[in-house]
Amino acid sequence: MSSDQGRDSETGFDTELYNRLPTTEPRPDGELAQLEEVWCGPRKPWEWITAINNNYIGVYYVGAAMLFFVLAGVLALLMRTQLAMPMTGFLAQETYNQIFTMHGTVMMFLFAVPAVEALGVLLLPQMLGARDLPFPRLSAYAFWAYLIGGLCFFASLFFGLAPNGGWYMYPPLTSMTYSPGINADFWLLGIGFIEISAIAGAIEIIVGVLKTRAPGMTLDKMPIFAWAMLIFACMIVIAFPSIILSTLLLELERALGWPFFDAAKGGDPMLWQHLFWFFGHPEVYIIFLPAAGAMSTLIPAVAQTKLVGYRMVVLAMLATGFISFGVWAHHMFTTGMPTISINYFSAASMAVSVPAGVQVFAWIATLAAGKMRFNTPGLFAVGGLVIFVMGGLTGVMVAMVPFDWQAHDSYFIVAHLHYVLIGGMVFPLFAAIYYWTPMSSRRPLSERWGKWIFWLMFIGHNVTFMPMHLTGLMGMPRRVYTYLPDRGWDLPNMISTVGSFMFGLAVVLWMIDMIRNFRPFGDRIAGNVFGGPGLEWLPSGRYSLRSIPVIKSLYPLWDQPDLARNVPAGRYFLPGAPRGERETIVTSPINAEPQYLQRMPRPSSWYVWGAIFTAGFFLILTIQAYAVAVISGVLAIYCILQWCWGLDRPSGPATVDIGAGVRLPTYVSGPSSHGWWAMVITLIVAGMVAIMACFSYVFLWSRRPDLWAPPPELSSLPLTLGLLVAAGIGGWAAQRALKLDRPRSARIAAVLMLAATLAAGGAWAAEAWAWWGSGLRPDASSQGATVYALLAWQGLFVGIAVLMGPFALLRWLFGHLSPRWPATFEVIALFLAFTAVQGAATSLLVRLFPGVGA
Amino acid sequence: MRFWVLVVGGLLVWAGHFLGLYLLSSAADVARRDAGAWTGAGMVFSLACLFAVAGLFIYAVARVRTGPVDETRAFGFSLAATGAVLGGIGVVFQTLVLLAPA
Repeated sequence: MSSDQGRDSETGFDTELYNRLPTTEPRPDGELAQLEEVWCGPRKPWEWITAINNNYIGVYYVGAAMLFFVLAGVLALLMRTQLAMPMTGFLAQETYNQIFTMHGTVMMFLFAVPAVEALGVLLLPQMLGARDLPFPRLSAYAFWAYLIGGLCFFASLFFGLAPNGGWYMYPPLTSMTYSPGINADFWLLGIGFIEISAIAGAIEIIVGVLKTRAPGMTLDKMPIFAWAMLIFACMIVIAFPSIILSTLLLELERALGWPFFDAAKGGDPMLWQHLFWFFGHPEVYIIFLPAAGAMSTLIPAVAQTKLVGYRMVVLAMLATGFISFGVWAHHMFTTGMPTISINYFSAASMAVSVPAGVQVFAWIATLAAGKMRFNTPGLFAVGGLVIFVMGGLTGVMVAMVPFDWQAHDSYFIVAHLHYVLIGGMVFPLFAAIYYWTPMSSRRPLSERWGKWIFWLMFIGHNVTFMPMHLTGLMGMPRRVYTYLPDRGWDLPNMISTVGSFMFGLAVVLWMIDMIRNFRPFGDRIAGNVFGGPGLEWLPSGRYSLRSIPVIKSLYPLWDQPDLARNVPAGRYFLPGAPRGERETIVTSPINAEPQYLQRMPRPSSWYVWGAIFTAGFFLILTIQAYAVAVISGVLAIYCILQWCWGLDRPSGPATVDIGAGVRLPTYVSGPSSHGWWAMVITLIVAGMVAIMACFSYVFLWSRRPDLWAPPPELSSLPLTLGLLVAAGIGGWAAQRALKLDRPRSARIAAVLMLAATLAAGGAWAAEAWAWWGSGLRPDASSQGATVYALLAWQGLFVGIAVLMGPFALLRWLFGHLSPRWPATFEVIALFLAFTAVQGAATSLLVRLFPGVGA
Repeated sequence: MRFWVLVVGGLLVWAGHFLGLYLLSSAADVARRDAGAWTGAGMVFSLACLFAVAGLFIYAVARVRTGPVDETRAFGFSLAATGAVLGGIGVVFQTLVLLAPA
C-alpha cells in the first residue's frame, strides 16, 4: 500500500491507486442485495426504537428538535397574549415566570443545539461519502437520552414545577433561600444531563468529519457544512463543560449547602455568571455556525455557482470559533467588573462581527455572481441573511459599554437576540429543511406553500421584534409579566403580539406541509430537485452511497459528472459488504487516505435502555427519590457495560479488498483508530471541566482570601502523588505488556491494569482522608466547597477507572483479550493517564495555592 | 497535529493574548497596586504575541513560496498566513485598550 511517491502522503497510502477507479468489470450477482440486507431497516415495531442508522436517527433527531421548537413557540404565544395589553390577567405571575424560563431554556437547549446536531447526524454521512457516522450507537444513545430527558423536563410545566429563574438561572435568585422548591433542580439536573447528550453528539461529529470522509476528500475539498460542523463540535467540547460544571456546583449548593455562590460563606454569584456565560455566549455561535454552514452550502445551489471565497469562509468560521470565547463577559457589563476587563470584552465583542461579516459578504457575492433562484430555500436564505445582519448591527451597538448600560435588561436586548438567533439559525434551518427534504423524503415540500410560509414568517418576525427595539428604548424591562398603561408601551406590545401570531401561523402551515409531503424511510427519494453539487444528492439507500467515490473536487456532482452513473453502479470503493457486515472506510484526517475498514454495529437494545436509565437517574434525583435514582443509575451502568462488552472483538480476515485490488486492514489501534480519537476528545471535555473548576477555586480565593484555611500537612502529599504516578505508569505498562504478545501477556496486562486502577483509587482515598483530617468541611466555606468539588470530580474518574479494572480482568477471563486487539487496553490506559494527571494537578493546586497559611 | 497547530496558530495566539491580558488585568485588580507595572507587563506580552504571529506569517508564506507542496498543504499554509494576519490585527486591537486613557 505504501509507495515512495508518498512524500505528500499522510499515511503512506499510494494515491496512484485512485487511478484504478472507476472499475469497469461487471459487479458480482447478489452484491447489491447483500448490501441491502446487511443495512436493512426496521422490520418489527421494537426495531424502530433500536434503529441506529443515521437515516433513521437523523430524522428522529430533527423531528424531536422541531417538536421542541413548536412547544417553545406555543409558550412564546402565551407570553405575547399576556403582554398584548397592559394589566392583563391571562397568565398568573408565577406561571409567566415559568413560561418565560421554559421558552428560553427549551429554545436554546432542546431546540437550537439539538437541531443543528441532528442536521449533522442526518446529512454528514451522505455528504462525506461514509456509510454512517463512526459511533451510531452513541448517536442513538444521545438521541434517546435527549428525547426522554427533554420531554420529562418540559412536562414539569404541567405540574407547576418548571424552573422559574430565567434561562440563565442566576443565583442568588435560584439559591434555596429564594427558590426553595424543586423547580430550579429540574433545570439544573435536566439541563446538565441534556448537555452530556450534546457532547456525545459532538464527539461523534468530530470523529466522523475527520475520519470517515470519502478517499480524496482532502481538507481543501471538504464541504463547507462539514467544516462548520467540525468547528461547531469543537466549540461544544470547549464550552459545554462550563455549563456542566456550573449546574453541578449550583445543585451541590442547593442540595448539600456547599457555598459556591453564597457570599456569606465566601462564595460569589459572579462565579456563576462567568461559568454560565463562558458557555452561554459561545452557544450563540455554536448554533449559528452550522446554520451558516448550511447557508454556505445551499446558496451556491440556489445561485448555481460556486461559493465565493471558500477559503475565507473557512477562516472566518475558525475565527468565529476562537473569538466567541473572548466575549462571555459582555453579558456582565453592568456587574461592576474592572473597567479594563470590560474594555477587553467590549473590543472582542466588536471584533467578532468581522468574521460573521466575511461570511455575509461571501453569501451576497455568491448570489451576485450566480443566477439567484427565488425558490423556498433561496427565500429563507436571503430572509435569514437580512434579519441576521440587522441583529448583528444592534449587536455592535450593545458591544459598546455606555449603550449597553442603557439597554441592558430591556426589550431592546430581547429584540436584538431574536434577530440574531432567528436570522442566524431559524431561517437557515428552514432553508435547510426545504433544501434537504428531497434527500430523505419521497416527495419534496410544497414550493407554493413554502413561499407563503416564508413571507408570513419574515413579516411576522419583523412585526414582532422590530417594535421591541422601541419598547426597550422606551424603558420596558424584560421578564415582566405585565405593565402599567399610559407609558407608551401599549401599541408596540399589541403590534408585537399580532406579529407573533403571524409567525405562529407560518409554523402551523409548515407543519401541515410536512404532514402532507414528508415521506421518509421509503425506498425512493425525491432527489436533487435544487441541483445541489454535494455527494448527498447521489442516489443512495440505507447504506448511504452504493460505492464510495474518490473525490477530486469541492463540488463533486458539478465537476465529476460521471459519479452519478458510476457510484450507484458500484464502480468505486466498497461496493458491497465484503465481510457480510456493516462497514465503512476510515480515512486519515487531512488527506482522507484510506486507513482501515471499520466494522459497524448492528442494532441492539442496550443503548436504548442505557439512555432510559441514565435519564431516569437524573430525573428521579430531581424529585429526591434517592434510592430509586441510585437503582436507575446502576441499571444504566450495567446497560452501558453490556454495550461495551461487545466492542473490540474483531472477526474475519485481517485485510479485505475494498475494490480495484486495494486492500485495507480490518483492525487498527492507537492514534489511527476512531476509538482512540473519541477517548481523547472525551478527555478534553473532562479536562475542561477540571480547568473551569480550578478557575473557580482561584476566583473564589480572590474574592475572600481571608476565609482560606491552611491545607493539610504537605507530608501526606507524596503518598497521593506516588500512587497517581503508579496508576499512570501501571496503565501504560499494561497495554505495553499486552502488545508484547508473549504467552502470559494477556494475564499480566489484565492484572497490571487492575492494580493501576486500584492505585488511582488509593490516591483519591489518601487525598480525601488528608483533607477530611485537616478539619475543613465542604459546607463551611467556599474553600471547602471547591476543594471537595474537585475531590468529587476526581472521585468520579476514579470510580470509572475502578469499574474499568475488573472489566479488563473479565475480558481476559472470558478470552476477549488478545495482543492483536489492544484497542480497549489503550483507551483504558489513556483514561488512567488522564486521571493521574488530573488528580496530581488538582491536588497540587489546592495544596500549594495560595500557600500554606495564606 | 503540527498541521492543525499551524492552521489555527494565528487564532491561537489571539486567544492566548486575550486570555493573558484578561488574567493580567484580573491580577492587577486583586493586587490593587502599581497599575503602571501591570500595563507595562501587558504591553510586553502583547509585543511577544505580535512577534509570534509575525513569525508564523513569515513561515507560512515561505513554505508556500518555496514549495513544492500539494494542494491541501498549500490550503493549510494559506489559512495559516491569513489567520496570522487576522490574529495580528486582533492582538493590536485588543492592545489598544491598554493604551486608552482610563
